[in-house]
Amino acid sequence: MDKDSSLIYLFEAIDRVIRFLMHIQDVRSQFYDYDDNQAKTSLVYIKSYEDAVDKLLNILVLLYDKICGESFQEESAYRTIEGIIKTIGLLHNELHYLPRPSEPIELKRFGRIINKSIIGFNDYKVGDELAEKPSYPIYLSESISESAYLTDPIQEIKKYYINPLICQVNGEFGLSLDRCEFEYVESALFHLSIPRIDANNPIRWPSLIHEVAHKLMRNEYFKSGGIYEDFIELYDFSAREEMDTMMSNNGLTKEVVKKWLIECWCDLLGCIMMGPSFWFSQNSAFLFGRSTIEKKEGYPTPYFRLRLMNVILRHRFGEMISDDVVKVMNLSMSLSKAFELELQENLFNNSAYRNLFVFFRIFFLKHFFSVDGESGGFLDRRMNESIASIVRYKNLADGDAMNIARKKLAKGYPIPSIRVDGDVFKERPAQIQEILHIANIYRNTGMQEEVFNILREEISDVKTKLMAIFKRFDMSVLRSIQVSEWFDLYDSESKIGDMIYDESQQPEKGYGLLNDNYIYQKIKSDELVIIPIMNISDQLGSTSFDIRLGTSLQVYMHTKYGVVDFVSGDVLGNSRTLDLDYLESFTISPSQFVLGHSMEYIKLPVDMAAQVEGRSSFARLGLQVHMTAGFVDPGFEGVLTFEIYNAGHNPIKLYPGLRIGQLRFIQISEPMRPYNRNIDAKYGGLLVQHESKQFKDSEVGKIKEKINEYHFKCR
Amino acid sequence: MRKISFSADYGYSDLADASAVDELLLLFVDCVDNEYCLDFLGCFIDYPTTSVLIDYFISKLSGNNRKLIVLTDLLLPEDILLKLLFIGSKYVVVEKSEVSVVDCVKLSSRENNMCITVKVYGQENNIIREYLYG
Repeated sequence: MDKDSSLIYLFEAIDRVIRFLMHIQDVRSQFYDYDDNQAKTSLVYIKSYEDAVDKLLNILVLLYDKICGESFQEESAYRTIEGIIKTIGLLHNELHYLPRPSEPIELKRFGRIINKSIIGFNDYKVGDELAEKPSYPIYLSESISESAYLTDPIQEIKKYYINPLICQVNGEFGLSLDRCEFEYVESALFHLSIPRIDANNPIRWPSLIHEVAHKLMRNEYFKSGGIYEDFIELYDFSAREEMDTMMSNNGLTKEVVKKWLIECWCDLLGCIMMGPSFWFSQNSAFLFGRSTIEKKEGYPTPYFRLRLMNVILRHRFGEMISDDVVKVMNLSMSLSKAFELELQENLFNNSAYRNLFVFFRIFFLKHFFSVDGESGGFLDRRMNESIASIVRYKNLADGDAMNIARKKLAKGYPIPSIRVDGDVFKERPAQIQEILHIANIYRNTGMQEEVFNILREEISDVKTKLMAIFKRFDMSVLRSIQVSEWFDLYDSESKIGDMIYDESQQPEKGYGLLNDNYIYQKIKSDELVIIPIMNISDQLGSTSFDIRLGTSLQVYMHTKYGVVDFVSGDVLGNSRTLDLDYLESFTISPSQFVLGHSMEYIKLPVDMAAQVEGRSSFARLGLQVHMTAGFVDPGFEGVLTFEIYNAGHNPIKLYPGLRIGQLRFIQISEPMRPYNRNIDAKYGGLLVQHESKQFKDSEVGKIKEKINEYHFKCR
Repeated sequence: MRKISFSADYGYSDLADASAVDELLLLFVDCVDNEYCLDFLGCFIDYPTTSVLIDYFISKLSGNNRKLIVLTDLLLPEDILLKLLFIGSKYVVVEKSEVSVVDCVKLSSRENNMCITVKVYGQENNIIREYLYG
């Protein structure tokens, strides 16, 4: 393994370690961020996990220096990293001692994608009967790899303990409880699980499609009654005998080849559904699986599978697989290639494997796409309108637009929308496949560079900084997934083309309140960032821009101590975050106060300020969107927080995406210290609303100090 | 004749990797010959990189008696093998709907004034099939 591959392996190990630490932090904040004895005892236990993983991180930081240094020893680096990934797997298995944090709402969105794909298979059957399409839930688990469960996890207990108890009661008491006995029902029990530490890591989710594909696969999808039967028809030619001899001499029996075919079919269906993001997800799964699970006999090697997926991706998503992307994929694949070369018989030195690969390649291209011009490829025959809507991004994919989106993600912006090429400003919702693809490319390029830059710094800061990078990445991607689904709902033809904007009519600096023409020009030139803009002609008024309610709310309760006291810290923990799923709403009662946020992520230029206002239609219902804090400083970046108060007499249902507020923009002369350059700024760059951070004000610190001093003297 | 064994002599076995192929071609910048034998034995090949490689050596063929010999250990039917080798090639165009792949290769060989031979090796390192075009 060369230096580049070692660095990639190191990055993957850092990903595991940091995600583990982030998970522990989530557990801490969801369950133990309050002050009582039980929490303190549990924290000792949490700390034990943290200590263990901190040590692993320290090893990785030191290893980075070694890999970059002149005395780099590849074998030793490789073994150490493998050991660390394996240890993380073991620690992950022991996470059942800690409570599980809740799944992110975006995982439901992904579940919907999976369920839609099942709807696409319109002849779903259980046994010989057409069946109602099941919904496949996704759970978190302590297993380090993605899994699909076909059975009820407590089936054994039902069968061997509960059923005998029923029999016993029947026999001894003469009762008749036969109907109470449990029967095994396969279809209703299928569910998927992802590792706990990947709950907020959407780029690992696509691998789940592979597991679903196993469940979907049916013999009738193949003309000759089975995948193997279809496959051997393909090499029914003069060299058949030689091929058969070659295969059997290399252990490639009918059973083995059939198993390989099934695994690859599931991979390739995943690629078709999820595009390149599936490839990246599987690549990661292979890397971690290698160190944590025993080598699976009878499976094609990861390199074989990745290469085959590559063929299908290039065939179907040529637009998305630019030279840059190929470079990233090859680099990511270099590890699997190194592992392949370690095998005694591998794809390079064994011509039987290579022959089989080429046959797989030809077979699957023909099977899925009918490349030889015959009609009736699998996709034509099986994929109805529903599934076509899932893969419609294939027709939308545009390499240049994706590059722009990748740059946005690198700046920490969410990417729920893609700008449509043209003279007039227009955006469309980004598809989940696009979001994940962009995220993967950024993760393997810019994010990797950022991480390595930090590793060169002082060790005491490394952990915090790395966690900040990974957290921001996850949050940006998750928010993008969530907002894009709402955008899809509100998407409509923009009428901006009918409106006349005169580019020559730009006001002088210091002109004051900006008009629609000026706002439009600033948006178009990217000086004023508003992400996403779902419908510019609806949102842009003569001197305002409508903003929408976001998907997250902070709901306040009475504090435990009945008073808000920033000095004692009692203000914390008196609210709960409520994340709304697609089409969900929140009902705000009369006199209730909640925090919300704008769906739009905003970045103001340093010479522009903004004022948040309500909209008259909502004001007439008694809904206020800010409580005396409506001014947005120049240079501000992030979502805007709404302080929402229902002053009316009736409860009001709030749906994400409603245009409940508006912004007015004011041109100013550039201040000496805009918001983004203010080191005391408390709410910059946020992707959701945040509770008050008033306790961070310098006055609070001073009062606290004095009170402590006074108490000390009194003692 | 210049025989180039990509795996055995140069250690390049993954010829599906575009960056490896780019790197490899730099080794042959000064090559000029009327006959090349491209030995793909032990190599993982795929399009479009294979045709990039083949095109490069076709462009380096000189003189009148121009020959290109391809050695492979892939036991594919002739038309599929030719597609795998030449799809995407500027010189050997195999995607003409009205003509068979085999005829396409024959035609391209004549047009480019060269003779193409494809030899298929079995696992015993023996030639089990040989195709001649042009």
